[in-house]
Amino acid sequence: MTAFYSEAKPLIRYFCLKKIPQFSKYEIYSSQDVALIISGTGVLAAAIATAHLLTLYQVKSTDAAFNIGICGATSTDHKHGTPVLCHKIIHHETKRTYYPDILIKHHLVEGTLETFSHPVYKNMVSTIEGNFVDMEGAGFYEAAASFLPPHNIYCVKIVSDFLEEKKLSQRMVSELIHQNIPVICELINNIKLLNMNFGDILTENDYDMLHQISQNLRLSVTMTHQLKQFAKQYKIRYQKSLACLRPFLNVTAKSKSEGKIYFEQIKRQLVHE
Amino acid sequence: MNKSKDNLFMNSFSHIYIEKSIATHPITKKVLHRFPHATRIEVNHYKDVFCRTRQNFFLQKNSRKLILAVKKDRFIYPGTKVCQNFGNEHFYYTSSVLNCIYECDYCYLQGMYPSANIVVFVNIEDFFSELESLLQKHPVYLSISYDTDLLAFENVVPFASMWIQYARRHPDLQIELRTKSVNYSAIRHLPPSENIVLAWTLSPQEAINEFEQKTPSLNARLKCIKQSINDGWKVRLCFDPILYIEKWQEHYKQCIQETFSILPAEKIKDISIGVFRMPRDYLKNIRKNKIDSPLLHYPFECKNGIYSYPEQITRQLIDFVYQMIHSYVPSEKIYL
Repeated sequence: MTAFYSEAKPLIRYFCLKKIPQFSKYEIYSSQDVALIISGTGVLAAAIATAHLLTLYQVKSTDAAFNIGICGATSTDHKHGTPVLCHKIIHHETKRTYYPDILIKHHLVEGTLETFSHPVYKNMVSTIEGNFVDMEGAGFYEAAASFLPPHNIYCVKIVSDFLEEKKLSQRMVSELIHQNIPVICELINNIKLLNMNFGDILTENDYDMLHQISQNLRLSVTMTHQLKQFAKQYKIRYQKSLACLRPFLNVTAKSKSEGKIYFEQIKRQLVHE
Repeated sequence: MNKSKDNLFMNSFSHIYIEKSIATHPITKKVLHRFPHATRIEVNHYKDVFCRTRQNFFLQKNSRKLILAVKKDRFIYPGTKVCQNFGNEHFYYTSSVLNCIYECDYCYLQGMYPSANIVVFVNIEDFFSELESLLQKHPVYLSISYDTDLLAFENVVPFASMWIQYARRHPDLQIELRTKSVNYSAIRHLPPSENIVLAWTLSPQEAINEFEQKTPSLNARLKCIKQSINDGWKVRLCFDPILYIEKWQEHYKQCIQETFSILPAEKIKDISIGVFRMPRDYLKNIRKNKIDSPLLHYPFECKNGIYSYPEQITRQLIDFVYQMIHSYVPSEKIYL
């Protein structure tokens, strides 16, 4: 998620994203495994856009969400263009705080981001708790946290100003994001690796087969759930495919009680091999 | 993964979350001094980090963070039914640290806590004062290292030493410090005391290799126990959990023989035996995310909300291990 097109532009180019037709007011760009939404300014806009995108793409817990954009810095400790990975995000108005899980190595500076509902200038520094300020991060995080685990939600901000009252040109904003694409991509690639080993042990084909068997044998909801559990345990314990269940695809139970007999046969096979 | 785990994950304790109210507590300062390069993050309440929804315990284990917090109430809890009370009437346990640095496959903490991060309640003085009130009512038997391994963690926070020193001043208090670690040197400078039991969990080396990641070998544990016995400490051995693994008879026989070839059986205070068991909800939580453990995906049977091996297997495991131990130690010293 980005707030502006100028933030999105270098990402759209880098990931070769194509605009998709939408019935909502949001601009969405996507490729096979990346989707980007432009939220507009503000906490609420960020939250709505994030929730919209994650719902539209039916995210799984192994997907990751990013808010990439520019931010102001409260001190000059970090120079203009520094990429920041936020390990704490404060919503200034509500004082709610969010903590993404920082599990993997990265080459970004870490800091606390504070999200305001209005632009922030130098004369307000005494009211700021964070090291960096923006207008979307907290909204993005709160919405993303309803869908994803904390190790798959990332706020990456590029320092664009030190709370001066001057306005940045769109070209400069794009340039700041563009310069940091290598470091952002490294982070994204490592997050892909992080999520690789945490899929479901049952494949889509396994689920299809179990569903078919459940229907053929007229199994109850509870028995279907048990069937899936036994199948999972079987694959984990014996490191084998579910090929042993294929013969049951050709069996049809005439009654529930007949289905139960077949269910017991399957159970014995999966539990005791 | 193409990239090795070591290259991908940050070191453990790369980040330390600190509750605002204990920023200047002496234990906080000690921990921060121990990890000068850790990123420090201020939090209002430890649960803001520890109890976030959808955390993945098993991913977090690769890069555990430390959370320094204050415990506000309920410092001492009555012991639960699934824990052995060793014949003590007033059995309690306490958790000054939540979670453990070891990664045992069978550990119930993986299903009990929402996070693998380690919480240290720095206000140990409040634990002592609640115990003080309890001791005025009756004697207390207290397990101080159930939901963690305090001795393994002693170099980060010296709670084991502090508990031992506290117990020495309170003869009505019996404490059990349970561990798998060989960090005995961290408490060796303290004189042994009658009311303190050092309890070591022992497993066959094959089970340690397979299911007790990051823990010391059986031989190292036994050498460490021998030293503590020689120094005059009361020692308990815990063959718990006994696991129904391939060639289990061979492995447990070897383990028990090795144990008593190194340790003088007559100097062991007592021994506890227990098979793998876990509350239903904890196992359910673990199975959701841990898909690489045949041990935890065994078709256990559930009895009164606790999953364990079927009765017949449980009996075989217990009988075999009991008989083996009984050939070295009298029955009154063995607790089931």
